[in-house]
Amino acid sequence: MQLSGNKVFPTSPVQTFALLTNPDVIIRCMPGLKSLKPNGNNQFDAELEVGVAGIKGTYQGNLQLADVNPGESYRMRVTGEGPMGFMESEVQVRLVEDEEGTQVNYQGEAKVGGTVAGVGQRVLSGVAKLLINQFFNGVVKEAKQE
Amino acid sequence: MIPNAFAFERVNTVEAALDRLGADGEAKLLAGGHSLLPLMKMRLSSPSKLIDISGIDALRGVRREEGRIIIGALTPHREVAVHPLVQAHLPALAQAAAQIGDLQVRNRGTLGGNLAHADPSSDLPAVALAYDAELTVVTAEGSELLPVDGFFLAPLTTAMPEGGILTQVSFVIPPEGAHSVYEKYSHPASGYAVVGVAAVVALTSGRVSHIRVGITGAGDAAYRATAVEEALLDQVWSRERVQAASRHADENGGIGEDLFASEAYRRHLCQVYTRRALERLG
Amino acid sequence: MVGVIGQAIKRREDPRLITGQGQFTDDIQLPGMVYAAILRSPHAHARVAHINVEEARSHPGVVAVYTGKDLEGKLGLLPTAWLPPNSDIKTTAHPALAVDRVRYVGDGVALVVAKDRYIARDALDLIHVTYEVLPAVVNQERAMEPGAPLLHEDAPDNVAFHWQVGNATDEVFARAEVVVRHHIHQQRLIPNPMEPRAAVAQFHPSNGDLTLWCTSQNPHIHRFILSGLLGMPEHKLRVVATDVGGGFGSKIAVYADEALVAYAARDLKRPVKWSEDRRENFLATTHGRDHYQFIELAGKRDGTLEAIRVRAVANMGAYLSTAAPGVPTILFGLIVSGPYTIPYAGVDVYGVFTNTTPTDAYRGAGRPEATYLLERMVDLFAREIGMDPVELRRKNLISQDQFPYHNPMGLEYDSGNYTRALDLALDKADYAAFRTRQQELRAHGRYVGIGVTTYVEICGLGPSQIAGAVGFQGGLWESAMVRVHPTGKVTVFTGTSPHGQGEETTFAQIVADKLGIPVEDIEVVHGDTARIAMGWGTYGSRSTPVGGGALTIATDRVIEKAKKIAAHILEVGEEDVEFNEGSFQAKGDPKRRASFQEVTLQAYLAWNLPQGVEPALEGTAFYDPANFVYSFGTHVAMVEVDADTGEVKLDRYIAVDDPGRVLNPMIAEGQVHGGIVQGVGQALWEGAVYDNQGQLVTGTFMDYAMPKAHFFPEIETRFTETPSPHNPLGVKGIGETGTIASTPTVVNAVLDALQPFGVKEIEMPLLPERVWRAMQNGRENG
Repeated sequence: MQLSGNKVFPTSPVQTFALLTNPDVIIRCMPGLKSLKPNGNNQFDAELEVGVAGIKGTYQGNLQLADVNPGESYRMRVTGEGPMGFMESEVQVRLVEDEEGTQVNYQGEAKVGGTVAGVGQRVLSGVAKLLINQFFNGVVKEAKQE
Repeated sequence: MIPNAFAFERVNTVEAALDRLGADGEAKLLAGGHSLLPLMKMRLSSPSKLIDISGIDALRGVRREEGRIIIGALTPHREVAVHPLVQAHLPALAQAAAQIGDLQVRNRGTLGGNLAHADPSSDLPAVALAYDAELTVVTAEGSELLPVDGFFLAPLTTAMPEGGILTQVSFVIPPEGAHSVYEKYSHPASGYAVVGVAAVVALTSGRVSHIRVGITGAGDAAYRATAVEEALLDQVWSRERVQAASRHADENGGIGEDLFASEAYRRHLCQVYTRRALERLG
Repeated sequence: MVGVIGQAIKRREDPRLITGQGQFTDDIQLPGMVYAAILRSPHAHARVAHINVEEARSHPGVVAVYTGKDLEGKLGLLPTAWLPPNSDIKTTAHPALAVDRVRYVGDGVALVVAKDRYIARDALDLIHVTYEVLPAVVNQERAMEPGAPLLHEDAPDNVAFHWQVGNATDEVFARAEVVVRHHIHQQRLIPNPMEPRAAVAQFHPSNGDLTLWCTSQNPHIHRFILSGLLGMPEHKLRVVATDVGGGFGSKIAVYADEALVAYAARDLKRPVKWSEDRRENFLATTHGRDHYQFIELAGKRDGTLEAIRVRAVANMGAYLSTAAPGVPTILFGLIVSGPYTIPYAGVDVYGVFTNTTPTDAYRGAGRPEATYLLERMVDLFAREIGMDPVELRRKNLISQDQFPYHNPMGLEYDSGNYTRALDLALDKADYAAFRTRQQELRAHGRYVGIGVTTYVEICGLGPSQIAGAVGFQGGLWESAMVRVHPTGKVTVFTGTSPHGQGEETTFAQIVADKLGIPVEDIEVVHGDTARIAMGWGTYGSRSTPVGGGALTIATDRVIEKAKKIAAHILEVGEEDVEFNEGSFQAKGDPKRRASFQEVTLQAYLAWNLPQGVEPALEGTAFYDPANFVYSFGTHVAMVEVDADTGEVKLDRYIAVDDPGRVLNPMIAEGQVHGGIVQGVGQALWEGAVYDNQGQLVTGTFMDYAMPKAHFFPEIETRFTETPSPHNPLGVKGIGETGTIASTPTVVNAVLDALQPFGVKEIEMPLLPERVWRAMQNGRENG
């Protein structure tokens, strides 16, 4: 499943980058992220409860930031495994300054396996879009408060 | 297909249901169960408790109140489909309800359960949009009226407040002389709508005086094709205008894709089925 | 009752099945029974680094947990039982539970046994497996490329086998006037019997016997193979297939699950039940088809077909299932020249491992793949030379006086009147009128099309000598015993194992007709290795030709013996006794007679039997047929394509089939209906889809489209009867004809409708979007 989109932030690239990669902000804004424990070298052990309405799966996994170029770009990789199967997503995030603040562009791919992959494909991309939007909207909200 | 263990309680009043919902954040309401139970059997949904509201008789039935038809949330699809008031005033709803699942599903599945579940391919959301429905949701704080526009947010996601119960749905009877229709392209596997178009049109002296187009199945949530409506409102009804207006049918929704139909094809189907629906009304 | 053959009597099995009185494997309840559930891999390809079962094992109500390592050396590896000769086949190790590696989503990883099925299911979520995910490959052509993920170290390039046959040389193609070449993908299908698989095993500590009830199309084959896996003498193992709710080939294979249940029952000394849920059925029960084919058809400008050559790459999935290698080879390759007088044919097939559910027989098994490609090619050839496709067929059909006909692969077609079936079908369809109407409608922007298929099917699998020659690791004869009880009532024991085909009715008709007794006096017993000496089961449309042949001979033996006794009673010579309408009578003296029941009673009382005649009355036959049988016919479909959306509407469907002889027209018609529906399912709706990491994304009936009754017009069926000389009843198969013929018929009809758009190929299933895109391309390219 391809993931891609754009989001405008009112903050500068440096500020936006700091927000997007701040574990405290991530945990507040990422839907269903229950805990995030640093594991060194931009890696975190994560506990996620991903889904919509009553359809949620609990995943134990890992969140990793890689190829980090502060203010410019990074890659975020989230993996998880649970009774409903597994998920793995990797997104390349790029930040570009514009007159409103910062254009954040993300592109990547998500893979799901197990029950969700077999039975949920009809709604998967819609749900993924929803969750990503919730995340960015949450961070934008925090950016506006800065 | 065995769900995780859950508690079960049957309640007879809305108050009791609210009380149980408030007491357990992981509890879910059970009405007809035709959307929820399959999810539970797949273990995609594992509520701690099912609060069975199917026996609350007050939430069942169809009545007319001034310019509206009011349907209790627990009214099963079959009852909706064959009810004389629905057939007389909301024919598109009768048609859509008659196409849901099979007879067994229609006998158990409920109007309220269907709308609250907000499956993006479900038939009824399109019809609710076309008849300017209002949804009554009761919470511990009281009752509120939610317009259908803005109710369906994303797959399986609505504007319902947490812990709320959808108790009834009120549909506006279209103006005198209006016609309405539901045109559906069924998925060969599930029978759900790949695209479903509910349209209501009234003409006054040959001009479109009232128009609503609700579309389901095509996107992440059902939507009103306002671009189509605007292109036709106040215009003289003609085949050419209908064809031209239908080309806007995919503009207002977040059109999605799945294995069965790509985004481009879904956009095309929106246009074709909107045109077909409207052509049946002129 | 003499004359009951050919009558449309109602299926005797139906009252119990439609009133919920059927006894399916899952209905079996035994004292002290425990329940099994199987943990299946969510990954298509991974190393199993570690399995922690402690939490599951200590969960209240859990009786036992087994992993692959626990079973090593205790439970044998699953064998492959069809080894096509000269194919360099790699029968790689297939343990019942993965030991260190999983190779498809659904591969078994652990077995939980608990005191109820709910606890067993819950406990699956408490097993913690550490997987190291490996790259997966799902497409068989990708899997053959250098550098593709390797499934089995002993199968380089993932090639499981490579099989070639035929006489079609390059030279034949080089000198041909016309050669049409084409690529076809036969998509993967999921058989979806109404009843998923299930198994119940009970160990009897008193004598060391084990009884296994399971959803099998061939319980004796199950016993044969499982006795080896379990290390249990065959006579200590009883396998019972009670009512089985359809199989379509998917219940031929011996699965890991059945072996595991039997193993656990013996190990725990308690009855164990396992029932597959529908999701498991999608993942862990064999799939069908999935071929890439490149075909060349050569001939003359006048329409004479001369040679056909096919290169096919078959997706075998992660392991070779029991009968799987025979499907894309023997059952496919030997019949690619079909019902036509094509002198040269050649087939070159690779069977390839991928990280997908294993494939095996699925209704038609190989023959639909062959018929589809041939019929598609014939239509393309007709278009190429500007000839009507029906005329091209007629010109090349084997004529009545050419039988027995030897096809280029060495098969001997028994009998046929192919043009009669064609004429009958065209007459019903009013072909010429359709062509006229088609032109008229096109002028109005409506696109209707007609597809005509003439087919021949190799079926009635036997004889054993050929089975051996083609690498089938078993015989293909059949057994029957007719036991006449003292009161003249009859129990028939057959080695076939019907699971929806209606043999409890048709086999009783065979016996009733011969013995002149009512059908109600006959009980047909099947599917139990303890009650039936031996049998090879039900598949390949073999039950009536082979099992019915055995039954005919066994019944004749009863009559032969009864005649001796009757002669003795009537005090005439044996040669002077006639058996008519259930009564023995002296020739020329109709008053001297004894009924079948009277003679039977005397056989059992044995007070006064002729010298040398033993008491009792039974007939047994172990019958090996003379050869295969070849059903044939013509199917016609008429469709309309929605020019706006690409939706295909089936307007009419006409089937003319020749199964040699029709024993029960209603049952035969039912078989044809079901077959057509499945075949059209492949043409228009069904298709199993994996994503590129090996997840089956059509994993439920929400996405995998099974045909529904309302998708179809009333199917118009007719039969012609051209008896086969290869078996005593003269019958051929009817269970698979519909599936074999209908897929190309409908696809050719759609492509015929789309001729104005210049469309030559749409990949199956012909989903509306694919049809719409094909039309769009046609419009754009003028």
